[in-house]
Amino acid sequence: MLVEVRNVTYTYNEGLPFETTALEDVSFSLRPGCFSALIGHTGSGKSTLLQILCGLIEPGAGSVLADGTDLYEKTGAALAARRRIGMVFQYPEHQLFGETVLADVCFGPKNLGLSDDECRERAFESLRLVGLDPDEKAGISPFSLSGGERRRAAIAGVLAMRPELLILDEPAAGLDPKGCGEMSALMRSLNEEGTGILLVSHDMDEVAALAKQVLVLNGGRVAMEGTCEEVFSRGGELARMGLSLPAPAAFMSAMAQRGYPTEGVALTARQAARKLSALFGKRGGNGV
Amino acid sequence: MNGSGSQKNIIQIRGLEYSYPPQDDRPAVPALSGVDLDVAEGSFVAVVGRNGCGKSTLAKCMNALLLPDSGSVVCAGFDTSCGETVWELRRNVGMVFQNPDNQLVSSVVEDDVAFGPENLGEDPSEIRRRVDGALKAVGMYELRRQAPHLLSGGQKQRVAIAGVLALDPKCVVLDEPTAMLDPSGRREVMDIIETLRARGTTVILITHFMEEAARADRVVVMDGGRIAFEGSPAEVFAQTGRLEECGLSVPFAAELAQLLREEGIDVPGGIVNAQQLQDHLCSLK
Ligand SMILES: Nc1ncnc2c1ncn2[C@@H]1O[C@H](COP(=O)(O)OP(=O)(O)OP(=O)(O)O)[C@@H](O)[C@H]1O
Ligand SMILES: Nc1ncnc2c1ncn2[C@@H]1O[C@H](COP(=O)(O)OP(=O)(O)OP(=O)(O)O)[C@@H](O)[C@H]1O
Ligand SMILES: [Mg+2]
Ligand SMILES: [Mg+2]
Repeated sequence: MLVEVRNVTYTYNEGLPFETTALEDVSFSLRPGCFSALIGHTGSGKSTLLQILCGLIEPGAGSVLADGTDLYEKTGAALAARRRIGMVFQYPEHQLFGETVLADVCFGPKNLGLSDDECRERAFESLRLVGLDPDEKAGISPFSLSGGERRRAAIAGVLAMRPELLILDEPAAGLDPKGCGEMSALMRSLNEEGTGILLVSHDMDEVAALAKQVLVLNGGRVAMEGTCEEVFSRGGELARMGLSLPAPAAFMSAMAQRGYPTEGVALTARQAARKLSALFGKRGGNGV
Repeated sequence: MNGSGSQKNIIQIRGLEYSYPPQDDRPAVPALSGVDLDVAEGSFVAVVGRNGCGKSTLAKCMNALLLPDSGSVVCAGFDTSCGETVWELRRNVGMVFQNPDNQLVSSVVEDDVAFGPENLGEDPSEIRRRVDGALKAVGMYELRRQAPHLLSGGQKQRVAIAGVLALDPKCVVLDEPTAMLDPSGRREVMDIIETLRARGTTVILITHFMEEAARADRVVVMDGGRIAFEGSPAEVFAQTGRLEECGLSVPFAAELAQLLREEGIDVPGGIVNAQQLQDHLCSLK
C-alpha cells in the first residue's frame, strides 16, 4: 500500500487560548513494503501524525491517501483502507481490557467478522510472533503480566489484524535488551514478508539498525528526509533539534574531534570497529 | 543487621518475599523470592533485569506501596510495615514510575508539582521556591501553566520527576524514567541524576539502558525475583555471558571494545563508557 501525506496541518484546541499547532504543512510518502522511521524531539508531532495516518483524527488541512483513496472520505473505501493500516500506540498495554490475554488479542479479528476458530488461530500465531507462549499466557488476565509482557500482548492484538502497513509508536520503549532485540527481529521479519513498517523511536541505534528511510520532524515540520547514512551524517543539526546520533556514529564523531577523522557514517558497532581497526590495528595506517 | 560501619545504609532489605495475591480464578504471582539489598546513603545504584523479573515490585516495596509477605524493608530508618510512619517514609523516599500519566493529578503543571509539598504542609513561599526549582531542573518552567494532559509523553515524565524533586527527598527511586524520552530529554534526566548525586541524594535507577546503568556506582542485576549478581559497572559488564542469560546486554562501549580486541587491537578490560575507550585509543597513537 502506498500512503501519501499531502500538506497536512493539525492544530489542537484551535481558537482557544492554549491552541497548539502540532503539525504544519507535512508531506511525505510511504512506499509499499517500506521500512521507514519517524524521529523528532518530544512534542515534535510524531504521535499526532500517527493518529492522522491511522484515521483517528482528521487533519485541519491537507490529506492522506492510501493507494489513492482519501482516508477521511465518508465512504466504504476509506473505511476499508483504514483497516489495512495497523497501529501500535505508545504504551499500547494501557488499552488492554479483556478478561484474558486471548480475549484481548481476538478483539480485532472478531471485529473483522472472523469465526471463533479463526480468531483463536490468529491470536495464537500472533502471541507466538511476539514471544509470548500462548499455552501459558492466553488464558490469564492481561493485568497479571509485567510491563513488557503486556506490551507484547498488545502488539499481538494488532498483528492479528494482519495489516499491510504497521505503524509502531516506540514499540521497544520499556522492553529489556533481549526484548528489544526480539522486537527488532520481529519488525524485520514482518517487513521481509512484505508488511510496510513505520517506526517511531527515540532510540537512534534502533533506527540505524532497522530503517531504510528516515523522516525527521522538528517543531511540527519535516526537517530532514533520507537514508540513515544521509540523516545521521548531519549530527550537528540533529543535536540542535534535541536528537542525537546512533552510538557508533557518535563515537566516531568524537574520535574525529580528537584528531582521528574517518570517511562515512558508522551505523553499527561492527562498522565502527572496522573503521577504527584501519586506524589503530596492526595492519592499519599510522594514525590520521 | 550489620550494615553500619562508617557508611550508613539508607535502604536495608532482608529476605524480602512478595507475591501478588490471588484474584478471582488467578493464582498468586510470586514476584520477589528472597531479596537482600543494602544501599549506601548518597550512592547511585542501577537496577537492571529482564521484563517481569521484579524490579518495579522491588521499587514499590521501598515506598511501602507493597508490604513484604516475609522479610523486612527499612528505608531512611523507617520500617515499611509500620503504618504510622508511612508518610514520613514517603517524604524521604520519592518515587517516579514507569508511566507518567498515572502520576499527574492536577489540571495545571505547577499545581501538580506543588501537590507533594502542600500535602506535607510546607509554607507557601517554601513551596513556591521548591516548585520553581524543580520545574527549572527538568526544563519545564516555561510550561508551568500548561495542563498536563496537553503535554507530550516525554514532557509529562519530566513533570512527574519535578513532583518528586519538590519533596526534597533523601532518596529517589526512578522506575525507567527515560523510557519514553527523546535523546535530549534522556540526557537531561541523566544530568538531573548527577545533580541529585552531587547534593548527596541517594538515587536508585531502574533502567533497561545499559549505558545509563554504566554511570552508576553499583549495578544490581535481578532475575526471577532475586538478585542474580551485582558489582561495579566494570565488574558487571565484564560478564557478557551471565548478562545474556539474564536477558541483558552490555553498553555500546563494552561491545565495541570487545570487537576491537577481536581485531587484535590492545584494549584493556573494564571499559564501560565511550569516553574511556576514546581516551585509550587516543593514547595508542
Ligand atoms: N490532546 C492534546 N491536546 C492539546 N495539545 C496536544 C495534545 N496532544 C499533544 N499536544 C501537543 O501537540 C504537540 C505534539 O505532540 P505529540 O504528542 O504529537 O508529540 P510527540 O512527537 O509524539 O512527542 P513524544 O516524543 O513526547 O511522544 C506538543 O506540543 C503537545 O504538547
Ligand atoms: N498487579 C499485579 N498483579 C499480579 N501480578 C503482577 C502484578 N504486577 C506485576 N506482576 C507480576 O509480578 C512479576 C514481577 O513484575 P514487575 O512489574 O515487578 O517486573 P519488572 O521487572 O518491573 O518488569 P518490567 O521490566 O517489564 O517493568 C511478573 O511476573 C509480573 O507478571
Ligand atoms: Mg509521542
Ligand atoms: Mg517494571
